[in-house]
Amino acid sequence: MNVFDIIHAARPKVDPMPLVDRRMIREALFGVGHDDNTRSFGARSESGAVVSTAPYGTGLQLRRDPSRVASISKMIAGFTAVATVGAVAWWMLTGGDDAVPEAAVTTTPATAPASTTPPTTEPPFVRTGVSRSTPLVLPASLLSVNGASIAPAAYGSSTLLLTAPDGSTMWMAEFDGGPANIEGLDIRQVGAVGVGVMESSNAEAVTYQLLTPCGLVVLNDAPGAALYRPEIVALFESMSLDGSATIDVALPAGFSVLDIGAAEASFDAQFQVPVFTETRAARLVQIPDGSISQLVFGGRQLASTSFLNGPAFIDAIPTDPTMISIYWQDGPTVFSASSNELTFEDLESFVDSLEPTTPDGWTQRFDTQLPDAVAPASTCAPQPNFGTTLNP
Amino acid sequence: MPLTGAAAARLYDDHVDAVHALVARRVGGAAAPAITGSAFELALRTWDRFDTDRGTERLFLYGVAIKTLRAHQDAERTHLQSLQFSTDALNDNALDPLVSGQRSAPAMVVEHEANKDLLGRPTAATDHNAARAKTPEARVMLAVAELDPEDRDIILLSLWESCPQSSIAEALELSVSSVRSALGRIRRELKTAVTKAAS
Repeated sequence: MNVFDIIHAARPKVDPMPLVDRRMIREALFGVGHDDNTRSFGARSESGAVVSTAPYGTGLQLRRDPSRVASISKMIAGFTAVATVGAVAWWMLTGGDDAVPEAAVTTTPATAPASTTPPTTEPPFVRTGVSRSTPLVLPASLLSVNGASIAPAAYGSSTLLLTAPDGSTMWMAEFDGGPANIEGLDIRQVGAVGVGVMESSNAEAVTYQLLTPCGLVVLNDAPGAALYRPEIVALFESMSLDGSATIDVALPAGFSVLDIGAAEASFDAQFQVPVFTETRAARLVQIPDGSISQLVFGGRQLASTSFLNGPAFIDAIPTDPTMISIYWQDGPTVFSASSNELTFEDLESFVDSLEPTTPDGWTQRFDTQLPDAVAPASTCAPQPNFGTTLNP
Repeated sequence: MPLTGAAAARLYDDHVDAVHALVARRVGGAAAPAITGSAFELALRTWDRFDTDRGTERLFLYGVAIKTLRAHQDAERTHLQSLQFSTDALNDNALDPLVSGQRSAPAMVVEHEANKDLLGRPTAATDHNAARAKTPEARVMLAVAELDPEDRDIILLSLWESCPQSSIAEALELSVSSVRSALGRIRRELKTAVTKAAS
C-alpha cells in the first residue's frame, strides 16, 4: 500500500450527529419549530429525555442581527440546558408539531403556582435590586441584542435538582401530557416504582423514566455515572407513587434537595457587552418565581461559588470548556448569565450594571409580548406531580 | 445577504449530517457538533458567496466547514495522531486518487527496529508520538497531521470524503489543475516524511 491507501484506511467511522445536538443547533440558528421533524415521540426515544433545547411554542426571535449571528454559535454548546424548558412539555401537551401555537398573545401566563423556596439554598441575596414589582433586569444602557425571547411556562411541569452522596447533581422533572409512552423502554421494578432507561443521545449520562399513567417523569443522572448505580437504586427504592400520580421520596442518607420549582415563564436575551473597544456576547436568562432547576433544564453539575458577593452556582462541567455559566437567585427571580467570551469578572461587571424592570418594561424594550402557557390537550389522568416530601 | 427562513432551515436539514461527518472525522465526535454549528452560521451569514452556477450547496458547506476547522487545528492534529486503524483488509482494494482504477503498490515502509540505538533516546516530549509512530500507519497519520492545512484539506477531502478533484477545487476555491498537482506533491512529501521517520 502507498500512503494514500493508509490514509484511506484511517478514515474514521463516525456516528450520526446526536439528535439533541442537531436540534439544539437548529434552534439556535432558526429559533424553535420550523417544521422540525425530529420533534416526535419516536425521535425523543432516540434522543433521551431532553427532546429539545429551546422553550416550547412561541419563543419570539427579535432584532436578530445577521452580522452578529456568529456570537450565538459560540454559545451553542453551553446552552443546552437553559433554553429548553417547555420543549418537552410542549410536545407532551400537543402531541406533535401540528398543535404548535402560531402566535403569542398578550396575557398573563396561566401557569402553576410559584415554586417554593429552595430548601437548601441560602436566603435570597439581592444583587440586582429586583423585587416582586420589578422582577426582571435589563442593562441600563442600550446594548446591541442578538436575540430576545419569552418562553411561556410549561403547563403543569416541575423540575427538581438533587445532590447525591458523591456530590454529583441529579435532575428530575415531571411533565403533564397524554398516556405515558413506554415503547422501547427496558422496564425494571425498583422498590415501589417501575423504571425504564431511555436511550440516551449523549451516552455519557443515563436518563431514567419513571413509569406513570400519564405525562412524563424523567431523572437524568450525572454524566459518567454507571447504569443503575447503587445511589440511583437507593433513590428509586425510596420513591413512592400514589393513585394520584404523586411522587414522594423519603430521601436516602446523603441525598439532599438542591432546588425544586414549578415551571414559570422565562425571559431570555443575548447581549453584546462592551469590553474596552469591542463587544462580546453574553446571555442572560431570568425566571421570576422560577427555580435553578428550571434554569439548568436537563441537568448540570453545579458547584457553589460567590458571584457579586453573594451565593451562586457555576456549571462545573460545561459542555464547552470555555463557557462560563453562573446561576443565582435574587429576590423572587432566578438568573443565569453565560458567556464564552467574557471572563467571570466581566460577567460580574455586566450583571452589576443591570437595573430592575417590570415585565412590561422588558416586552417594550424588545417589542414582544408574553405568550400564554398552553393547557394540555390530553384528558389523561392523573397527571404526575411532586409530593410534599419534595415540595413542602 | 445572509440566507434566512425556511430556505436556511432546509439547507441545514439537508446537509447537517454530511457536514457533521466531515467535521467529526477531522476532530472527533465530541467537538464536532459545536464546530458544525459554527460552520452553518458562517455559511448562512456568507451565503451571498455561494454561486449556484458554479457549485453545489454541499461543496460550499464543505468549504465553509473546512474554514471553520482551521480555528481548531490543534484539536485536529491531536485527533489525527490518535486514530487507531488497521490496513489489513485494504491490501486488495487500494485507492489512489491520482491513478483511476489502478491498484497501488504494497506498502514500501518497513520498520527498522535494529536502528533504534542509532536514533538515540527520544526526549520526554516526543516519547508518546515516538512510541505511537512505530508502525507505518501511525507514521503516515503523524505526517498527515503535520501537513500544511490546505494540503491536509485536499488529501482528506479526496480520501475521506470521496471528492473528485473538481469537487475539491470547488470546495476550496482552487483550480482543478492546482488540486491535481497538489495531490501529487502531497503524496511525494508524505512518502518522504514517512520514510525519513522510519529511518
